[in-house]
Amino acid sequence: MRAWREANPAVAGAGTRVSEAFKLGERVFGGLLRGERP
Amino acid sequence: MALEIRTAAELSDPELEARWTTRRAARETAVLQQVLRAFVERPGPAEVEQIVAACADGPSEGIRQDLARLDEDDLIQIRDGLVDVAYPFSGFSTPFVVQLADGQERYACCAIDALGIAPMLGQRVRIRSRCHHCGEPLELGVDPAGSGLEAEGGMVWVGKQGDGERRASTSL
Repeated sequence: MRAWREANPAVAGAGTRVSEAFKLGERVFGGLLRGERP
Repeated sequence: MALEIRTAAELSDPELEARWTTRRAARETAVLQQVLRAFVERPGPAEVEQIVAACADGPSEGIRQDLARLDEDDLIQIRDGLVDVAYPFSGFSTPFVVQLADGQERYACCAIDALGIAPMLGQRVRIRSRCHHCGEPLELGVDPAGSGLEAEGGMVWVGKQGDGERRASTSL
């Protein structure tokens, strides 16, 4: 990702580890089709 | 600009949390639940009229209006009578392929959406994608609790939605 960032310095955003990205996905979608809240 | 690496907590803020809470309530409505189930059951876009027919409890015009509102709020995308996006799913191909527990494959709108499918369904999935920089294939298994992901070396880019971009899917 560092190499990609060096090639794309103007793109707005940030990197995050897969485990942290999972937390975001879980926050948004967790339990949605099971009637549960994350 | 140097690479910033942030945690999930650092990537959210009260405004985003409020937006997520509002969108979550919309996702829990019967109509959007029906749309999401259609994407789980079958690959590709879902026909609006099939969704309307499946929501037998309400008046057809009311269901169509609900779907139009969900489209306006960017919870789904309707084009030519088809729901072709219902986050986390995409009815057209994307770089994020999610293999469900029964072996069927679906496309996710982005990496975070792909990672959200296991906890959404309560089933283990496999995600396939490629490095956006070098094209190297990437694959990982994800269970509903996200077990073992700390050991994964991969990174996810979280893009910032531009001011003029109404849809999240256009900013990823």
